Amino acid sequence: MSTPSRWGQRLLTRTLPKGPVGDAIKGDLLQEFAERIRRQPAMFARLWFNLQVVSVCMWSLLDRWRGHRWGHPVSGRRGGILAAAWAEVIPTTRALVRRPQGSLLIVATLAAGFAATTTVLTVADSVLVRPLPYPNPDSLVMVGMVSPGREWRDDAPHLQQLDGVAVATLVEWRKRLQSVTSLEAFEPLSTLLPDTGAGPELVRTLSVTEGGLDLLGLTVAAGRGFVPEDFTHGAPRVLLISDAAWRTRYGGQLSAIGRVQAGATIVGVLSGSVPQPEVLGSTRFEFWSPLALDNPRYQNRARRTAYVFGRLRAGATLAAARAELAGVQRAISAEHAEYRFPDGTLHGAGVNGLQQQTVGSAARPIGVYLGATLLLLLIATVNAANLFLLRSADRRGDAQLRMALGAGRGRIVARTVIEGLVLSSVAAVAGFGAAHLAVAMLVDLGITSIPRLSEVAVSGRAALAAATMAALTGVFATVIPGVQLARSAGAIGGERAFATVAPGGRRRRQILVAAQVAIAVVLAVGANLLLRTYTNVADADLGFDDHQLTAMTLPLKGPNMSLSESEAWRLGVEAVRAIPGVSAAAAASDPPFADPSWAPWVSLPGDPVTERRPGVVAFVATPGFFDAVGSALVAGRDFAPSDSAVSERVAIVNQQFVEENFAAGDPIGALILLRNDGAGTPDHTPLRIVGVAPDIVQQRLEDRVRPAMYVPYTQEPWPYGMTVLVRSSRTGEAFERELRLAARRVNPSLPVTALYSVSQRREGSLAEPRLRLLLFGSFAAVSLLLSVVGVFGSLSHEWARRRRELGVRMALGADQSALSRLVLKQAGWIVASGLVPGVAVSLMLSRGLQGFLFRVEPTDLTVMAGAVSSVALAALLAGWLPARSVARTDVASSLRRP
Amino acid sequence: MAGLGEFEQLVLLAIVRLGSDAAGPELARELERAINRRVTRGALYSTLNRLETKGLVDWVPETPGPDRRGHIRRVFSATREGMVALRESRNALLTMWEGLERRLEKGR
Repeated sequence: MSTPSRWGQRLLTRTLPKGPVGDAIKGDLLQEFAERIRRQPAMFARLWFNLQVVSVCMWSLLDRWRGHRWGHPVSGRRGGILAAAWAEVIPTTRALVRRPQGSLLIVATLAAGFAATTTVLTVADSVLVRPLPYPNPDSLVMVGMVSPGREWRDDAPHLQQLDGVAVATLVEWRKRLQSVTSLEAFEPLSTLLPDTGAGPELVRTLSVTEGGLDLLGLTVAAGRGFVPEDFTHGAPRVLLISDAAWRTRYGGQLSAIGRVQAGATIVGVLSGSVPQPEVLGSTRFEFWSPLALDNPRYQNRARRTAYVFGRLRAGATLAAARAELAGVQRAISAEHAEYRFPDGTLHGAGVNGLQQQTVGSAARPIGVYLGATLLLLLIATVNAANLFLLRSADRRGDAQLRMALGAGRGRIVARTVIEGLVLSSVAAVAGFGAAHLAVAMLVDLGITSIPRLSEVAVSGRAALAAATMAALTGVFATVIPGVQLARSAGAIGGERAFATVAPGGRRRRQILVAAQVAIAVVLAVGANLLLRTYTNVADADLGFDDHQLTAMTLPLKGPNMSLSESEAWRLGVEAVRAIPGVSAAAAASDPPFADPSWAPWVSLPGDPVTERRPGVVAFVATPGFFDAVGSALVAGRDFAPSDSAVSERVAIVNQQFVEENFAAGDPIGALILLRNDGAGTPDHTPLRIVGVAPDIVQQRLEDRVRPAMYVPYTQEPWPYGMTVLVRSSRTGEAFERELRLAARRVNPSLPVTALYSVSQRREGSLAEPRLRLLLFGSFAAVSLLLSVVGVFGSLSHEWARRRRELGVRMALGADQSALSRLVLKQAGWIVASGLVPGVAVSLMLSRGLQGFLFRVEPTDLTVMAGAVSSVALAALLAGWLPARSVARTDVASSLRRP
Repeated sequence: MAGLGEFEQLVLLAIVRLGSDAAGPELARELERAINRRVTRGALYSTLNRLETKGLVDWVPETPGPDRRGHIRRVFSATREGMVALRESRNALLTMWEGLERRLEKGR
């Protein structure tokens, strides 16, 4: 082959400039190729040709980018596109600095939008997008037990509802599962530290199987990690201490290694760079201990207290893993009675991606916040566009002069766009800085509903998003004003006698103002809905009296615990009642504002064997509980001393339970059947309802109170700890000391794990609704302000330019009130044009707030009416001010002024 | 007067040396012979463009030979300004070189 490559020739044709220069260069290369073909092998000549083609094309493009186009030696354009754009930046910036008035408003509104959007994008990125900080995070999964009838979560329907796992079950899974490997157990425990003068202390310890630390990429920063011998039952007990606990308890001293805590030796310090998995709860584990699979207590399949993590095998999907796990667990459940319910149903097993499990149901609320901030940014951009349109009307003369000196329309548009980009860049920098502060404040607030909050930090992706927003906003807000300016500057005889404002420009401005009003309505409706929710939550009936009520939580199990559970309950309550100033005291397994820990299988006589009454929670309580919490029974009686271990089993139910299960008749005297939620218990226990209690709030104020039943502590040996509720006007350290001393009467070595005022928990429960209200309220306030400014600015500017027209009208007989009505009518049309679409969009978007609302529907008409009327009133007021100014027009001066 | 880079000087000198034969392929050959290293054609044409922009060279079209498949041939020549620039550049170099020959020979 003695011809040069076709692609090379085509590339030259495409890249080189058209004309004699490009033609000659191509000819030169073909000539040299022909000479080379004659004296060297064709392959070398073609290679040489191809290399030179690439070289020529690259140099040509590089020179073109620099503004030195080949073949245009005296083009008169010194510099390419970038150079021309850069040449506009300096004078534009100088002009903006010299006249900052309008620019400051644009920068401030855009900065507010950027700050809010960047903050929420940062949260979304950190919580939803950023991979978990563990090795190969995409393959990490959480595996758990699944109860029949509760396979999927209500708040996140794509996730299975996973419960705790018995270690013995983990051993079976390891043998049988193919699609999930590296299964490791993590069991939370509590370790009692001896009294060193400040009282005994209960600390959280995490017991982990041999590969658990490696699975999460946890390393040891000092001392040694666990060795295989540590995982043998009976081996000397060892502990690893977390980095935070090491610094807090031992001041970060290496002498901590080798110390003995609760009978175990600290052998190493965990590195603090990898955070504890969020799914393990918000309590930080201070110590980590080895979990020995051969420990006899782990043979108990009913002890389902461990979390299990693993990895999906390469190529395996979550769906396939779920199917395999379901089949494997079905086989295991069939082999062992502990997994079978009395009705024959079997415990299942499920698996979720660990990242999805961590995020849970947080995606939706974050999405709602993001939508609100984007609306805010949109209104800020529309406001900026409006201001640029107003400016373009004022700059027509300047643009005409530039065009007369040779600038094309493109240059005029480019100047306006560059102005927008400069302002939006300044706003983006300011907004980005504000976002940093906002993120820091958000992390400090410690909002529990945002998972991975401690990992939230402004990242490169957020910075890129901010920069992209700035660029898009700068262009979007200025392209149309720039095009309008170029068109009006280029028009011949642009000044008309009466219309000193181009009608096209006026209409555009009015559309933009109406758009601002519409967005303000949407945000106002959202804020009003959240305000109504907040007041509903704040005024919600607690079902009890939280004033002067203190809660003290203490465990019942511990060393030297020779008392029975019921004796411990009795002693604890009696000791507290004896404290001076205490008017009432009682104990319960879970206090108000705590997640109920007991969800038993409850049914009614006559129910099918497989049916359980849904959502029932249960509490163990001492006599006088309802009196202590200030909750008067609605019907029946309280527990009595006669309700003992040998008498008929009794229960008190709440009103929600009655509403769902006894709608037809009187529940007093009726029977309910209690089964152990864990499978394997052969029988049910009948309980007779003796009383009906009010609906006492359970976890959060805004949660629906679940149907509940209360059983006396003498009939239900609840071993997991109690919370004593104390009614007393006394507070302060002295009172707390006396409470702790009373607790010691139960067991001197048991610590008080929590001591707090119940009304503080109520305040804490209001924190999130308050935060949501604050955010949406701020957005709504800013958007209302911008729309008011938009209405006022647009009308003032327009009628200032139409002063002559006003003078003529007055000269022809129009009075001041007629002129005012003219302006108000225009204002009314603009506002109405915004209200109607605003209401329509609100009706569609407010459903997205469903998860945030409490006792108010997203389309509540009174809420909508309130929001719409407040926006309308504010906008019309903004229109009234220019109307008042117009009414004071002086005929003579307005006619004289050109 | 426009300052000359090293490669610009070499190209301008090659144009002067080749006279009426100073077209692209001949210039490239002459340069490779003189400086004993490869010259990429992209760098060469970029430099020729730059010299033309500075007004130091000019070119005239010529009838192409058979190997060029009808594409024209450009023959370059140095302008008056180009010659002045070369002269100034040479004088500057000679001034700097003065008295250093012996020292350079000793260093060899």
